[in-house]
Amino acid sequence: MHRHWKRRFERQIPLYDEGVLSDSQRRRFERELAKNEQLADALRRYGRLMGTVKRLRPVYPPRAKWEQFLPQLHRRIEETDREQPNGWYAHLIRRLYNRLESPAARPRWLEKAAFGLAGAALGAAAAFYLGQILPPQNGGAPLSQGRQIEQAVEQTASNNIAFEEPLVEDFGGPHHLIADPSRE
Amino acid sequence: MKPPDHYLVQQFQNGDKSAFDVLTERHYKRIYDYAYYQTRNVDDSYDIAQEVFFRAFKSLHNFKGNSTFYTWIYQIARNACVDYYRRRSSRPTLELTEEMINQESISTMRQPERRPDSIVLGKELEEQIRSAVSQLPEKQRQVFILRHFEGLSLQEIATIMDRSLGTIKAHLHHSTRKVWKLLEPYLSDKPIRKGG
Repeated sequence: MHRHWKRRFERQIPLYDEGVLSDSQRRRFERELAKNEQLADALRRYGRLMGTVKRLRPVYPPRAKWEQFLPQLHRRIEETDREQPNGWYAHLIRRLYNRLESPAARPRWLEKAAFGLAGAALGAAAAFYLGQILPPQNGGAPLSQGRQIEQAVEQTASNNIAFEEPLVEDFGGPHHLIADPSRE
Repeated sequence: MKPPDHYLVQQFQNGDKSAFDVLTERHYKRIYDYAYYQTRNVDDSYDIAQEVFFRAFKSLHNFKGNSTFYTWIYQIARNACVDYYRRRSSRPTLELTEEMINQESISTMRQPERRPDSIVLGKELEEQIRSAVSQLPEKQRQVFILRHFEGLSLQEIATIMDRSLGTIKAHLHHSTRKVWKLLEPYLSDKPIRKGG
């Protein structure tokens, strides 16, 4: 139990230092701080770390390069302006490009919409491709064994009918009325 | 008396391009600092700062003034740094997690022989802080740098990162705890057991 409370208060040290604890949390923390030497020690160590963090300074480029910051920026802007075509359409495209290029100016929904469109296009392309390479759904589907037998029987029956000689002799009626030169 | 940023922005939007020079002179060092804390590389930071002000020049006419100029330019800087990390993403990077802090490879820093008292506030601690911060996950790193190195308020950070104040507090809490936990052995007055 004691360890749990110790961890809880130690966890709160950065929040206490930031001043973002609620009033009741802060009061509880300070009560504990007054009687808990370990917590006080942890707070001192944290303060030492943050003190060092705040003293950290970046390393700067050589003075000559540093002084060229603004002239170099001017050159870059001028070069870009020279390269860009003039005219109302160029102006329009440039404005749109600048808006898209500058992430700060780019609305959040635009990125989401772009991802959505890209996804939809990809899906449509995949569906089209699959539609091209796969056979029609019923044309190539394998038949069950029973259906295969049925089909074979039907096929045989239709073949027999097609190749049998017509039984003209066996029937009377209109066949005899047709003139047959071989009989004469 | 120096003209305020919003006045210079208006001047620029009305066609006075020299107003942008004043804005650049006023803010480029801060943006360089921010980029340096992100990259820890002088040349890359300089290039990022150039890129930030170039982008700012190109889109300042779209700036509506919903935020201050410097939070707006920090937004551009933040995105430029994200682009920088994206470009470098082909190279393996190491992100610091709670588990990794407890792993043997990282805990080698906790060995007593590597903790001479004389360096507690010295160069090595500074280097360890920079190293620890650079290993934080992207959002936590951004928040840590903007708060502790740049000294921005939590509300300003929330505006720059386009997140709620609560989210920023959570990122700050996690990032600070990670850095603290990692560097605690350097700050302790007592000797540390190996592997502890």
